[in-house]
Amino acid sequence: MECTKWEESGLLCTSGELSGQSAVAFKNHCAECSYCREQLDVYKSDKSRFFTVDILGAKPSARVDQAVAMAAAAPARITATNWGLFGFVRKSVVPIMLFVLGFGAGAYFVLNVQNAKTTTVIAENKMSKVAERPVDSLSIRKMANNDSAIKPIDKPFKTPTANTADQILPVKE
Amino acid sequence: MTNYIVEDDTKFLDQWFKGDAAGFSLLYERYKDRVFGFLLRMTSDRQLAEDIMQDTFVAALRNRAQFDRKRNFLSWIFGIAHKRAIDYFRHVKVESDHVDDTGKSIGSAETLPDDVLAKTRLSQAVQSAVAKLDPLQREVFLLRELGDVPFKEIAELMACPINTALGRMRLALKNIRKELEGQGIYGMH
Ligand SMILES: [Zn+2]
Repeated sequence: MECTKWEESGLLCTSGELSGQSAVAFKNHCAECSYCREQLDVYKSDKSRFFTVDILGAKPSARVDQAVAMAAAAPARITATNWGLFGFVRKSVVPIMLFVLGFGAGAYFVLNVQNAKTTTVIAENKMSKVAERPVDSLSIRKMANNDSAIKPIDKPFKTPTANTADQILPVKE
Repeated sequence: MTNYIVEDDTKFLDQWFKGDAAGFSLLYERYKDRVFGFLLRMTSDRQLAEDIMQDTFVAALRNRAQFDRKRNFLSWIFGIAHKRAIDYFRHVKVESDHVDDTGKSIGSAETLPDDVLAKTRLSQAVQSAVAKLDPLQREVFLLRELGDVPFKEIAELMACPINTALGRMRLALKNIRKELEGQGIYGMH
């Protein structure tokens, strides 16, 4: 009577795919099961007599040999694996570019924020100076129109106080 | 498992991976009869088998980076050959013809252009028995016996559970034995 262990474990044993413990278990099973023992012996015998490369294999023609030899001798297709150090660099190009772009974008953002803060401080300082000193209408106009550092300020422009406004001198043409 | 094959392959693989084509050529020389035997018995067409064989080794050359050095080179090359053969059958939509070829192959075992190896009665009888197998049984049998492909990988290649692959192998062995017994080969020494 056929034993299912032959298919379940026996064949895996012949291919060397049984783990150590399972291999021992099958060996022990074979000591008790004549069917599996016989199948194993017959397979080993068949393999050495019938399932050989001489019988099952075949020789391709010289045409295939030549074609494969030519393909093998052709300059190796450039792949990252055979570029050595340059291959490493080549593989690193994209990450490096992404890093540089990211760093650039980050630096641009940080510098802009910093610049905006500085601009604000400068502008505030200027405004406070404007507020502290007597200002003529020309200098106010100059600051409003020409001093680009003032433009980004989002705070409302500080108008001179009533005291300073009183001291505004007539514009000399 | 024939681990000696893997161990012996290491030096040729090292050579090939260092860019020396001679390493690959030596691997080709070592395994070409196995791969071609497999393709010839899968296709029953020498010209076609040669075309797929050439395609297989050229693909291996071009896809060296995909080869996992922990794996058996022979199993890898058989995986490529198997895929190419199956792709071909799918492409020309002759799956059913491929199945029907089993019957045709039986009577034409002598006409297989395997001149050198088919000279003896024993060779012819074994080849005929293999040709008579159900195509799926034959596929598992050849992958295992010629390609030394583990059952686990055979199951992956054939997209079936490992138990199915084992069942097909058991039946293949049983049917080959039965056929050889019928031809009076079995037990002949
Ligand atoms: Zn048993």
